[in-house]
Amino acid sequence: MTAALRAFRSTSAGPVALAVLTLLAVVAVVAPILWGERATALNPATAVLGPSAEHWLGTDRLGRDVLVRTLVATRTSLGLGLLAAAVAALAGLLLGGLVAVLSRRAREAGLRVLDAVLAFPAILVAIIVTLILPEGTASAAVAVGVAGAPAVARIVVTLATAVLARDFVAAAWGLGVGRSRILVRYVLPNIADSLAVSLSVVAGAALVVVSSLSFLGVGVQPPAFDWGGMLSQGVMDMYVTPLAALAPAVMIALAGLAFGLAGEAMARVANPSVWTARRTGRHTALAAGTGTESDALLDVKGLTVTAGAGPGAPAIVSGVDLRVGRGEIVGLVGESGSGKSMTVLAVARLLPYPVESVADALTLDGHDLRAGPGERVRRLLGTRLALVFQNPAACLNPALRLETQLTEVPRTHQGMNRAQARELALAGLRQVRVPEPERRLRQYPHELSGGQRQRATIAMALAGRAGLLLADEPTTALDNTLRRAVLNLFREANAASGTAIVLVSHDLSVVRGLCDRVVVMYAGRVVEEGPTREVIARPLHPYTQALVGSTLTMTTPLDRPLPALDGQPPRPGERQEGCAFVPRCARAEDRCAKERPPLRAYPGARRTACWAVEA
Amino acid sequence: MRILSRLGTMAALLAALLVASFLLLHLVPGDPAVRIAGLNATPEQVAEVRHRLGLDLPLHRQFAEYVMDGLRLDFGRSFRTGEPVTDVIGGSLGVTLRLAAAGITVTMLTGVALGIAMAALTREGRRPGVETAFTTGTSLVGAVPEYVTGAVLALVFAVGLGWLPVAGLADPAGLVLPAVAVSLAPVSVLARVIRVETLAVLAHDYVRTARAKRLHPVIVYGRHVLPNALTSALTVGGLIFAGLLGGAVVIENVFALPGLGSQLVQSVMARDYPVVQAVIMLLGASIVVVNSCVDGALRLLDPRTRAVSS
Repeated sequence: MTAALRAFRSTSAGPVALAVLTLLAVVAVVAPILWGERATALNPATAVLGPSAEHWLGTDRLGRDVLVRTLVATRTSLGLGLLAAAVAALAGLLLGGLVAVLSRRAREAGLRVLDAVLAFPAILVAIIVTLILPEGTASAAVAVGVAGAPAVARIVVTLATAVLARDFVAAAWGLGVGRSRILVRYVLPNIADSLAVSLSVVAGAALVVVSSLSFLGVGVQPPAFDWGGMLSQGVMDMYVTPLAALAPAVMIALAGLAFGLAGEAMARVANPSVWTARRTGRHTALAAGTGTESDALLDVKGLTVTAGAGPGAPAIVSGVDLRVGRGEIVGLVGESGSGKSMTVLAVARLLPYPVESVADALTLDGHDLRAGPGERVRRLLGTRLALVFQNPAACLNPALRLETQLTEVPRTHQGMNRAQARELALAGLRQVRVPEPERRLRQYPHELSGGQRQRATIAMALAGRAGLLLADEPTTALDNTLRRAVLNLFREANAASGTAIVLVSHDLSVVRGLCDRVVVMYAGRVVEEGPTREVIARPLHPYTQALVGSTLTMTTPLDRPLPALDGQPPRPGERQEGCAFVPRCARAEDRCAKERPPLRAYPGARRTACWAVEA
Repeated sequence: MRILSRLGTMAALLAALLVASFLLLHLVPGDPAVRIAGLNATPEQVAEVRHRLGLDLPLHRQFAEYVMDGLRLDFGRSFRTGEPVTDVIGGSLGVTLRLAAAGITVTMLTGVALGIAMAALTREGRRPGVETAFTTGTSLVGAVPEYVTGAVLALVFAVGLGWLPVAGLADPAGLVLPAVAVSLAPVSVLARVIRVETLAVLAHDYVRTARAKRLHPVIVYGRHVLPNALTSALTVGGLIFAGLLGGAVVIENVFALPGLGSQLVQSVMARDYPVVQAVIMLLGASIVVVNSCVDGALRLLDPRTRAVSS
């Protein structure tokens, strides 16, 4: 509880709301005792005056002090608001509880009725309910409470249904515990917290609606008075003494706001995850370095990616070199958190905020990508580089026809007209063997089968005749059949149009079947690279050996447990000066912990970064 | 089939409304005939009133007549003036609908634009200062009731600056302040919903894909983000329309607009039941119809639900 209170105070709104509510409560208690008589004393001689030393906020039509009346009215306004909230809470709890413990079908019917009632503005319902209640000050509050009950009931049903679905309640049902007992003993205690949050908001709304009724003249009746009634009188003399209208208006707004903010602050305490802003985020222009032209399609040198700007920001990727030749398929493998996805996103210049990157060289087809986000770089990235993410089908926008999505790159960047772009899209769909391509173009993504969506996405990625396809775990979310189909499409695109591919995966078996070359990353650095076949057959780096050893293949002996790699890779910011793999390495020596091994070349176009590997 | 079931629900709601407004007269404490005839009326006068209103008939006959009259849009005569209710409220529906239409236009345009702009500015946790300012600002504005906003607006723009008329509809400019007053709170609510919804859309792979295509930001937001964020905007939009009608009831009284709201309040205070019943029917029917239209529009806008209905 104290922790919750501290959390409540630490929200920006919490302390303010608490202070305002406390102040209002004090005024509500004290003001009528101190100034009760002054507030109602008539004095025609001082009617409708502006502010003066005697009457700070002036006087109303009957010569009564506006400030005093506003303060005294706090008790009625606040009291009626709370009464209304209490009625709404009680009635809503009963109604909602009743609906919640009904059988499933009856509950759904009950919910539909509640929703239908909720479509009507509470103030209208409240006005009408005042008609059937006896006249009197409390009636307005009761009417507002009745009008607010369905909203509370709706919240109760939602909260209670979640609790009822839990195992311990199911067990209680099974033991034959009665409905009302379940409601009181099991459900109520579990929804009390969330309900309290909602009720604070309901109290604020109730106060405002009661004031509205009084403002309209169907709420508090003279000689009793509240802020709403004062406001309606003040509005009549608005041209002469605007303060008479403004003072109660400010109080209504203040009280309504304080209740609302208190509710919000309580909600933040109860459910912090919803409210904390997600912190992932921005790609900035890469800093200029000493880039060199090269004949590789993609040439990355000394790429460093940091979580945030500035020298202290933890590095996610450090000094990675990556070269992809034309038509080459390169696999980028490593555990999650090894920096492989960030490397790809840095190349595509799509890093999330606040992640930033710098590189000594970053060229695509000989063009420097580090130059600002100019038209030339945009066109280059739009046409020569394509991306496919984890679930290819999710790359299609559900609200747009395939034609729009498949033609926008050629139309935007290659200056094609609609017919040309359409022809290209059709050719693309035919290439990935989507049946009836003409019809598909007119369809929305949901009208295609899962497999067709995967194919269409790949057709879309290739539509601009991309030279380089960056595929980030493209098969991880797929079942085996779709996985094989997607990999086949990649292979075909590579064979037919010479598309180079960088395939990011944590799964060596995917890489084995597709890639010419494999690059292994660990803790943000490249630890080994070389031709796929050789690297898998004879891994040099201890980490690669562990990775290969933990992969199930046709030749894996099934009578022994699969060797697993113990421990976790270091997180960004925890990495030390030596080799990052030391804590998990069986072959680590003193030197490894002190000095980081450089990436050294070995026969057979292989490179690895390990002191233990002899040349 | 979907449309039929929609129409069925709509009819059921309207019927429920009819029953509720009929029962209103009978739930009122005491004998309505006594109330209408006045406390000093003789028993003969009360009996005469009872007979004139058909209150001496059995309940089911009364309901049958009420329904038949209601279908002919005949709501009887006002207790206050003796005029047919239809004449009494004739012009007021138009005034209220004009106010609500102006309000919903302002709300949808401003709320959606503001919400998307804020999502673009604060996506992925960018500019936390802007986010705090936006959330605080909208909760401030959203917490202030319409009539307070209205009174303050009237004070500033009509009384203080004298730019706009404070009351009446003699001048079309008279609609500006009431429309702004009813819209401010809904705009805050809608902008917040749209921002959150847009942030969710922005996190989808298809938006990342659109970015990867290096489309112009206007295309990314206009073509790829907006349609997906708009579905939720419209769901809330229906609720907002209902809320606007409620707000209009209050705001009409601030700006002295002769709409259904003013009519309702006057009739409730005068216990003029036939007029109250008619106003309930009209406002309720507007809400039911608008919500059904919003549902239909959603179905048209969202290709996924459209496929289900066809």
